[in-house]
Amino acid sequence: MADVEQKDIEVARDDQERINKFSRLTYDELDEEITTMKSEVQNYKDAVEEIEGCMEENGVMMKVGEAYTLVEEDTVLEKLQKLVEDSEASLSQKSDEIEKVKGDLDALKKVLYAKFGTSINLEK
Amino acid sequence: MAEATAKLDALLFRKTEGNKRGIPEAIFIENVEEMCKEREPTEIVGRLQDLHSKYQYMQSSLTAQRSSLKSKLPDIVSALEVVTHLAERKEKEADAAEYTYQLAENIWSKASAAPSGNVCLWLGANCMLEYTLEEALELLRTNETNARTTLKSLEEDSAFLRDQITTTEVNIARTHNYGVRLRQLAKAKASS
Repeated sequence: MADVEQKDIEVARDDQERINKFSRLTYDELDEEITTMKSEVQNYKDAVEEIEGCMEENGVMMKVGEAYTLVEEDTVLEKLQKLVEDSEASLSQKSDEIEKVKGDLDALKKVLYAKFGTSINLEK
Repeated sequence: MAEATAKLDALLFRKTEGNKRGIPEAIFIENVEEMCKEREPTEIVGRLQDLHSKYQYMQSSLTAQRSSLKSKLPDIVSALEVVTHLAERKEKEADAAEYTYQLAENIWSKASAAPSGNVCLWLGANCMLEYTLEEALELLRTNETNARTTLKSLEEDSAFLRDQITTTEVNIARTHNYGVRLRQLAKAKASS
């Protein structure tokens, strides 16, 4: 929340736009998504390891929607491989996004603090 | 009185064009001093606070819509996964497969299902309809795309609303501070 307490410094339209932008940028949700994705990737990788280690001859039970069915190991591994790749790709995309948001926030903070000093509070 | 309020409102917000769910745009007060020439700062702050609470109401409604949509997406994705699985089995002309499914809480049972070209989709409102696999895939994909598009537009509207809220908050703070300064000046004058 951009809480502005202004003494004698006038807020110009530019500043208002910066404050708006600052207030718009949040990364709590991105942070959360990244945490979930990381554990997803780990889960898939664990699953691959487990399957490779269990030497089951008849295949393994795989979850399809809300039910489980017997699927051959190779097919499951193939699917998991694809899941790992997809999740890692979207994970790195989200990481880039969050870095950008953080960078933008810092840049805006610098400008706003330079002008308003202690009469503005930009900590969330 | 009503006329004066309407005149003040026109300075504080305006209707927006296009698809913004009727969210009015908050107007940045360029010059607080100018605004306070014809009326009291407290009057302006009061109107702004009304506007602010309206915005907050809109925000809670947008957030609710968004989270309900977000919770529906995984269901669509999961249904798509199942239909894709069925289509794969049909294509391979596989034998009947055995599925372990949840019959009730803590009870799992087995069912055998031969590959089939049809699937029933739950449409909601106590209604289920049989589709061919191709039609089901198409329907689910359309639903997914629609959900994502709606989600995106909700997010855009939320961001727009966020800006209006912030602008209004800054307007309130500035007008309020100006009012305080005016009162301090008046007090200083009276005591000297």
